[in-house]
Amino acid sequence: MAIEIKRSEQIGAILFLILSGIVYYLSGTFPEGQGQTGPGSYPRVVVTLIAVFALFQLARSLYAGESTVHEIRAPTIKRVGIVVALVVAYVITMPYLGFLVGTVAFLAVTIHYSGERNLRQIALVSVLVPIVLHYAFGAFLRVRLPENVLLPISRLLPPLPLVIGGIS
Amino acid sequence: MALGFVQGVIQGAALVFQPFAMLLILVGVTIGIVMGSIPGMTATMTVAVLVSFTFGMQPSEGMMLLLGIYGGALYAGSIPAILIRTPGTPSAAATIFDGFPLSENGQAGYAIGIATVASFIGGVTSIVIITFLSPEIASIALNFQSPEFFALAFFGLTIIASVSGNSVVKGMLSGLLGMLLATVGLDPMQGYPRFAFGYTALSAGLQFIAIMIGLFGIAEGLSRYAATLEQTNIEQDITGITPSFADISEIRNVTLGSSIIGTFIGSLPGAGGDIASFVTYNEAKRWVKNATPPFGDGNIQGVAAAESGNNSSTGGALVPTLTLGIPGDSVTAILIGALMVHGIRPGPRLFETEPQLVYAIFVGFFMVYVVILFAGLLGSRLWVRIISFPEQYLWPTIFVLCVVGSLALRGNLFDVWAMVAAGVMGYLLREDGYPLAPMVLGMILGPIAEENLRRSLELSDGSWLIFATSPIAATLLVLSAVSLLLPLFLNSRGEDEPTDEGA
Repeated sequence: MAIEIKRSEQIGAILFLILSGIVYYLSGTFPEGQGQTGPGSYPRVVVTLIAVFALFQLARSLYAGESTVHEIRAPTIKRVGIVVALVVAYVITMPYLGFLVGTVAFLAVTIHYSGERNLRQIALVSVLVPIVLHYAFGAFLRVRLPENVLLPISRLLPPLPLVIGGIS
Repeated sequence: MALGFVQGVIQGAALVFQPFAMLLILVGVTIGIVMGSIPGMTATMTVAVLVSFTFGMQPSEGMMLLLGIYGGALYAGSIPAILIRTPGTPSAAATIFDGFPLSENGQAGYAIGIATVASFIGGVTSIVIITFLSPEIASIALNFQSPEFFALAFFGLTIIASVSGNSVVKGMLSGLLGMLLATVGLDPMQGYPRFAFGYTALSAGLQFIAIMIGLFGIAEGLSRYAATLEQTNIEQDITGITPSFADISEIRNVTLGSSIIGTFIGSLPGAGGDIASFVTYNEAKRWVKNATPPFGDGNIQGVAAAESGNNSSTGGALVPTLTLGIPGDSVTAILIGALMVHGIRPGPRLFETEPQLVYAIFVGFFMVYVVILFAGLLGSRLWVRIISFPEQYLWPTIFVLCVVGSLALRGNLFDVWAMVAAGVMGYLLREDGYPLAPMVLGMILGPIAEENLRRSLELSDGSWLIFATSPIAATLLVLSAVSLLLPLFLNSRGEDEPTDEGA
């Protein structure tokens, strides 16, 4: 099964025109500056140019009788949709699961979804990658990574080897 | 204080020839080659995903890592181009013409060796040129005032759009969308929070690096999943890699000529390695009369022209980046973003405020190409195996790197959500034919354009004539109009150009 999107050039141009209208309106609510240089003046210049180019695209498409048809197959939509959903779920759950547990779960599920069936390899990569990144970002670069709310697993990991601390 | 040429190079070398900096060059080149060898992994994507590793480093150290990745990835794009007729990066597309026929004749190692030497010559030639030229350009640009800088930013945007192939209008829309995204947050003159809707996180603006990571990491990943992940197997033995003196003598003129042209093309904002390699390949065909074998049938001069052309564009791209603060391509846009994280704003004053850093970038980039030469000639058998790296492990790991990289910016999830949103938006835009490179450059150019436009209008009491009374600004604005209208005119006559979609 496939979904057909006809006249995508025109749809894109209309969406840009709507965006321009909204931003132009919102920019009008900003306080006035000196002369023509208030906070809203520049966004208005930008969206005016966007509107001009969108109108050009729309006119060209109408004039040329656009016949562009984007055919998107259902499996493609499903694959992309599931991957986006997995990433969104990963980000949503990270504050609760913590970086380590959340990343292990995300990698295991996504690698399996991507077609790998060797469970031992999936487990190995899913565990090793978060640990390496935990040391690289959490310990070496001092980035505060989210911690599991129930069990702070990162505290169970041994500290970064002294040699790396010395280099940094 | 600005440094003299020799003094600058010595002081820059003092920063580069440190064990940690050299290690970072080595690591950067290795990562770059590994990622560039995998079809579809662009230099832009690799630098965007890994830029967050540099936040905890000194600016010069961070630059060594990123330049290593940049050079390494651009070079390595030639390996799958030669072996499997699929460019690792868009810049290596022209390498296919003669590289793949050589591979079909069982001479893949030979083609990789030529590509390696040509990449080295292209890279170092461009760096030598820009090391001499950049301080001069910066000293001229020091006289620029607000009208000139606004005109320059506008010129940058139009030229970016004009190299967007047959979609100039879509390129402009993409660039303007980037400029619009850059307006979110405090306005630069009065500090008024624009489009924040009461959210503190939005008041601080969208983080450019997070948007970059989304546009090039997540969007690319989604495209790969849309096309289904594939695994490539390489069966050919890689032998006879090191070219002979006779080979080097044969490619010498073409390589040097292509290196000079590639440097010039790379220095044009928005014109990257892909355009440079096509132009130099076509020029080489004109230069070499009665080529044997003919171009397209496995002529090593074709490989050399394409590879020296695209690698020399990297040095060229640094010229507008460092001297004017206008990115030469998507990768240098990220380099600007990475420097800004450290509170350093590239532009003509950089040569006065951070001269040691500037020369360290030149010396470091030179060393990057020295490492590439050895890594390419000695490690090709290993790099070839990377083409077969299973994508089902690669992309989930890249998604994780995208999330952690965005989190590392300010330690808040808002940047991560902005990154994910940019990724989905980038995927949808790209599917509909909107190039993403102009959007990225628009985000960098937007604040420069705004600040200087508003300052100019304040100086002139709102009169736009201020741009006509400055000869440089007026010339740049006329050139902007030409660069915008010319491709539209050519397209209406059905002439297409190669598309610049990141290095």
